[in-house]
Amino acid sequence: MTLLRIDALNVQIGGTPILSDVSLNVAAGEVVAVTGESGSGKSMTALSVMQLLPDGAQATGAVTLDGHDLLQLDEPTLCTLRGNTVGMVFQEPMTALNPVMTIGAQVAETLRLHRPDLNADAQARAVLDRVELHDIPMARFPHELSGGQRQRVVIAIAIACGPKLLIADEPTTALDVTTQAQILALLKRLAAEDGMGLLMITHDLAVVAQMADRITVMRHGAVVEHGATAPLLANPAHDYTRALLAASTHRVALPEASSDAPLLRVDGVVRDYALPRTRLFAPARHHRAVDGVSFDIPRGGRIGLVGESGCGKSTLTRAILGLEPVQAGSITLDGTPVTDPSVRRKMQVVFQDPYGSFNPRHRVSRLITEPFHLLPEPPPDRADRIATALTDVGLSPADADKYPHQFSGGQRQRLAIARALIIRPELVIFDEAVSALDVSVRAQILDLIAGLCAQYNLTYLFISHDLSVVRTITDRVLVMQAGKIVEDGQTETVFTAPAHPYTRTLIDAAPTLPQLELTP
Amino acid sequence: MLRYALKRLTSLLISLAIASLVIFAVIEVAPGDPASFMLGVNAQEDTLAALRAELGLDQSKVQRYLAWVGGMVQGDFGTSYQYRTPVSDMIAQRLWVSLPLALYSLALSTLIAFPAGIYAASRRGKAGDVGVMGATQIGIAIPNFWFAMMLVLVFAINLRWFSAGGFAGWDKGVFAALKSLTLPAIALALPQAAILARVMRSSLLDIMGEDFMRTARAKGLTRAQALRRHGLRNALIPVLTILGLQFSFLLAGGIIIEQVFYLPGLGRLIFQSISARDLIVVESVTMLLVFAVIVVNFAVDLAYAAVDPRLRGRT
Repeated sequence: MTLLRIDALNVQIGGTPILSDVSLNVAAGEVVAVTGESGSGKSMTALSVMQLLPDGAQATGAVTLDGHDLLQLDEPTLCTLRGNTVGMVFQEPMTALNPVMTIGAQVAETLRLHRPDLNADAQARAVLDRVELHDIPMARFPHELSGGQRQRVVIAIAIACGPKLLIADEPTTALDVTTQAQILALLKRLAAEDGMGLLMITHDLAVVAQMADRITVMRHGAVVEHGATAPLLANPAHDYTRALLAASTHRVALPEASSDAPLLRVDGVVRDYALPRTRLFAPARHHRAVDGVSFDIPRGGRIGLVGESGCGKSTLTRAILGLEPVQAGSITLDGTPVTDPSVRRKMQVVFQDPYGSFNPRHRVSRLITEPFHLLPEPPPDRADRIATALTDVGLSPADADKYPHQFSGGQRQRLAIARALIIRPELVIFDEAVSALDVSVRAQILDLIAGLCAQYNLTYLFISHDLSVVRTITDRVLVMQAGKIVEDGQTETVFTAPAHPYTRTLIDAAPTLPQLELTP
Repeated sequence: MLRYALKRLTSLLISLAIASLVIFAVIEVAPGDPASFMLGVNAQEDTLAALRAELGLDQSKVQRYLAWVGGMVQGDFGTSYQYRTPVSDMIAQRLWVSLPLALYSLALSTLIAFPAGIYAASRRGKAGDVGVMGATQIGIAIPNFWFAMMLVLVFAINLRWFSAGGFAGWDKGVFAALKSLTLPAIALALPQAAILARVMRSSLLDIMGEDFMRTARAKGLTRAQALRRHGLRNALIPVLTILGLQFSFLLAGGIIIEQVFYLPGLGRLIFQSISARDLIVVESVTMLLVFAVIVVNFAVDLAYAAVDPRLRGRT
């Protein structure tokens, strides 16, 4: 029996079409994934089912949930359905919970609203137990929990009243890979136990492959393809689906690494953070974020650094950039400590967020020449350098007069790379540089990096939580856990035969697309 | 929570100590000898010396500072050079006007601002929002002394509901006293309410964009329920900051309004004392106001922690 039927749904905001003719079904007990890149309308589809579209959005068509046509219902009736017949889990567990309310109260609130017959507090405890938060007292506040635990609380809120349909919008995108695996398993278990329909919105095809019974692929607000998971992935009918799959498992052609003289030497580095004093006169305690880390990066080396959030990789990165004092050990580039100003011009960094890392009021020519201030005097051929830098990253010299908002996310990341390369640094640090990008754009940027490697013999440290990216773009990989490097080896060796149990856990937890090799 | 409160309390005491030093030093370097001011330019040198000795002005600065602070701790603020009465009595008298006035106008401003801000936020972009925001714009723009005079013109002179000025005194009964404070309180409250309403509105609008408000709606709460149960408390934090600042301002900054309504408040006391070089009064009132500001800040800090559990663990 069809639980949710979306039929020819059209959504407009201020006359701009957001969704056009979207149709999909979810049956009880079925997991349906809606996938696509940013702007494909997958989240809007989910919000249409909740009828929580942004102000000014107009929906036409039909969204039938459990016999109710949601588009025809008035707001009070919708309020009795939300949280009761349909629950929703959101992407960002860090902000999805009210920071000033205990988690128990937040779960109990849903129950009080829809099930006044139950003892809300006792039931809330039972629901928290169901999402495997047995040890967490109800009186905890969200900030006292980890990201994965918070997402479990959000799930508990959504399933508290035993909804028939659960909508999960990118439920694991913000989580580490091992936490992601646990949350996905939890969602699957809950759906199976309750016979709930699960409508899952995700951009990650590997997650889709692992979770869904059926897939709907969306692009530009329209459905391009839908079908059962295995056949669709094995034999996609639509070009776009094929392109998405190819981009998801894109492998770049890295040129051979050329030399082995060490460029960057990290030797026994320790970084402690002072913790708040618990007693006035007791010695301050410390948190050791980086614990005796040593490695070399040879000139021309392409090194990956992976690890989960909180493992110390960001601290280590900042220490390498000379932005963070270290308590022991040394970091040298070509034998000079990285805290020395002369070393600054030899290192450049590309950050994750292509939107936040540019001053919106400056033109591209000024933005990408920012590193020139590191040079003793600005180069005489400034215009030529700008043109070359832009051409190198696949943009046009004419773009120099534009502002950052005129570029897409992928193009901005190209600008960030142009900015990093314009002074020909000896070491580039890519800090989650492709994590915020859609798969197809990510594939292009990875190709760009590989191309630049061939052109300029780049040396870089590539930091990422995404194992599949690190596997293709690096020759050697460092695995970091709790401030220590637990494994260091050739990338392919580490991925095919991990030596450390933690590496194995990481690799096992990462969802993969097994069928893809079958696709011609 | 206790650790947080103790930490705040320590910083309160340190602030007070520093403030007392600064006030003492500033008054010391200010020109003018109170003794010669009191006795006039033709005073005999030995009379002056005798008066200086009587006022304690011949002692060393350290001794005088310690005596001043020590006295204040025991509630002895010294004796006014001008009126020869204990400063503590003078302050107490004035405080009985200024403090109720400040609380009264703060209560009024909160009562106006909270509903107005909440209403405007929930009607964002609609006529109600535009109306409230327009009104607050006017409220901020109008000088409060002009507004006070208009109030006097309408409610005291034309309608004869209130007296045009003066303070009835608490011995005439609470109602009479409050009645005579009503017009000044409204005059003080309105600009404050306008600012507070705007802060409330923008704070609520920020909160309404937060992810947890969407979670609340997905639970099945109506827009209004979500705003009340999840929005308000989170929106309160910036509002508390403004409230604290406004209270401190109202306590001391009502000087113009006190002047318009002939109220014997702290503002007028400090103004008169400065004109008369009655430095001991200036010193003490300033210290008292600093004390009030610091205590209000302390209270605001505690209120933050009460509202936001994330602050409680901090030290």
